[in-house]
Amino acid sequence: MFELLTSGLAVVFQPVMFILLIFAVFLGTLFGALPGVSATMAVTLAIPFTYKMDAVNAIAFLVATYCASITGGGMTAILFKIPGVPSSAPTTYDGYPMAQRGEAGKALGIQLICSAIGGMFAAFCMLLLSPQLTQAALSFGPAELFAISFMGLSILTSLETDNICRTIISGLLGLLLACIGLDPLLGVPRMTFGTRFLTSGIEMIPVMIGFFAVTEVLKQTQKRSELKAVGEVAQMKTEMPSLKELLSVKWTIARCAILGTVIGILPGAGATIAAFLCYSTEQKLSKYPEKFGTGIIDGIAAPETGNNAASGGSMVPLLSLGIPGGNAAAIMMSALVLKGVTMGPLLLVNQPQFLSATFASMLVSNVIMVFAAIIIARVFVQVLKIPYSILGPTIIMMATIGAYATKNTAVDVKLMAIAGLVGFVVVTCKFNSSALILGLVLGVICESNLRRAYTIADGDTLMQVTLNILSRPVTGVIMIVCLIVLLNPVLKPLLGKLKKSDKATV
Amino acid sequence: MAIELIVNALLLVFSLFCFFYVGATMPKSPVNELGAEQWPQAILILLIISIVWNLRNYFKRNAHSDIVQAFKNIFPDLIQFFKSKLFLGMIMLMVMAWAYEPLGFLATSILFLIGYGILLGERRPWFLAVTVLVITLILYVGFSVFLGVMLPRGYVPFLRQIALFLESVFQHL
Repeated sequence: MFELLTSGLAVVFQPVMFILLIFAVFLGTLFGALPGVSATMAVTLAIPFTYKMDAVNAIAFLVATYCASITGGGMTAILFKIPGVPSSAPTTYDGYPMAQRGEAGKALGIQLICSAIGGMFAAFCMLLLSPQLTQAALSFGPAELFAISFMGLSILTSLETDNICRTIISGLLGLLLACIGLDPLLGVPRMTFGTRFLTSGIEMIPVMIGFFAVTEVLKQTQKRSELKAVGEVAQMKTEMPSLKELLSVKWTIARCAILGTVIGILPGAGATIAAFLCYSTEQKLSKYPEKFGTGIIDGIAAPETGNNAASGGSMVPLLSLGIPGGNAAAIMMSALVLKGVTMGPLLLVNQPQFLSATFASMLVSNVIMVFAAIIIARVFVQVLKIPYSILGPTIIMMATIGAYATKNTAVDVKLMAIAGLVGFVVVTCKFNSSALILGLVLGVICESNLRRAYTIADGDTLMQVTLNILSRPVTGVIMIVCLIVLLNPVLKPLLGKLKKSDKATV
Repeated sequence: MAIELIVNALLLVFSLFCFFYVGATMPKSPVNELGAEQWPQAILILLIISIVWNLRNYFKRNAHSDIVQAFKNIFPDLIQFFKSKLFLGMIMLMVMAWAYEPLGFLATSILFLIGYGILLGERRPWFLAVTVLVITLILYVGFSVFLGVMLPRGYVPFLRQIALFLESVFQHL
């Protein structure tokens, strides 16, 4: 472990890399703070910066951007009641009332410290858990790997519980898109409709850039949201919390750091779910639940610790199993695949520097982030004065550079533009673009592992082979968990309705 | 409202077509193996069921008269959409994507930033011109010079010459 730590620090403390890391933290914090730029979009826009880096430096850079953007989102949540990133939404409940009372600086201080603690805790968990999970995964066959990646898909129904049917459709569309191109086992063109353009499949990075960056600008073009700050924030100064204040929320921080990391590790669940869950858990456990939402530091500490811990947790399945824990991790995975890195359990066995660099990057960026956020908070209002008429098109140009640099071909720029338009239609029809991307990323992993499992397993008919696969203990247990997770949000309201009708008849 | 129904109906037709298309175009798989056509077909079956369920929900959620009204308003709504900033933005985006390689990064960036900036309501010509030039230069220097990311020079001789000239200037610096 000490070796991993030193080799990781050696990567991030290379002079050029360290400067790039500071840049990544500023970039991430700024992107996260800007409303309309999500953490996923921040990572997407950071991709072009990594094209000339080697894979280890690239993951360190992207991780720093991701961690910082999650923290940056909390700043707008506190000052403007508009979450910069979706995972900062619960921060508005108590952050904004504090800002209204003139305690914005204190709220920002708590937010920064808790974010840093959550991020660093998750980094240590990642360092401890990833090698263990890798060791376990090395004994896994394709059936188990399919079950784990299917778990990422089963969480789809929990992504948007009010809209389960559309979320499932979005996920299935993503899975279908992943089928386009050469068949992963036979190598024959599939669903290419006779065009050469589709033979290599749907290129993930331009599609993700289109969905997360271009669609957002188009949405803002249609209806722009205006920002209104509370009080006098032109000269915002961050006030670090006192030791007494920090100690008063120590159990909140501890619980949310653990909960956030666990949620982050689950494939598919991400920082947003972690933040909401941490907030509601703390409210339930609190001695003064009625004060939540009125502007108390517990209400900021819980979501901010949770969402940063989840961002670290999401790196565990990515590094140890090659399965992304969320959209941002999916983008990082695509960026690594583009560099020729083979994701999967063997990654950390053959190249442990990926784990050490990610860990060191998370550790260092969480420290730099505190200083970066303090500096950014001072000029925050000026930064937000950048009109969207300048910011919007600049985002599209950066996205274009990112898409073009994938393979130095204009086809990817066109694909990005088309994906942006499709993404807009998807959003307009209330489908879930995150589910679609999750399906697209996990589709190939799921299919190739499942089909390999069928090829290896014994049996004369497809049914026999299926039963043989499901009778493997790890696969069976995970698939049962998947079914429960998948069906729970669907069956819960139905059962509720049944109970109500029963009561009515009685 | 109408667009939602149209998109769902189109998706349903496309899914049905794909189901048979995949079956017809893929090689036959052995009886005890999961073939190249079976995975997409399994997804398509689930997709078709989900879309039908979603359509059922749609008709349950919306009153018949509202749906009829939405379809009656479809042409005025379309005309309004074609006149909207959003549609112009979409056109600009597509034009930019198709012109990116022939015109090169510098010209495309300047034209797109000016065009989209005006579309989003920027009415200060000097501010826009200066900002656009500064942003283009920052993006060019940042990505092309410092990070070594390849940016297209364009096929148009005049624009290509400018790009090459800039490159040589930065190389000398």
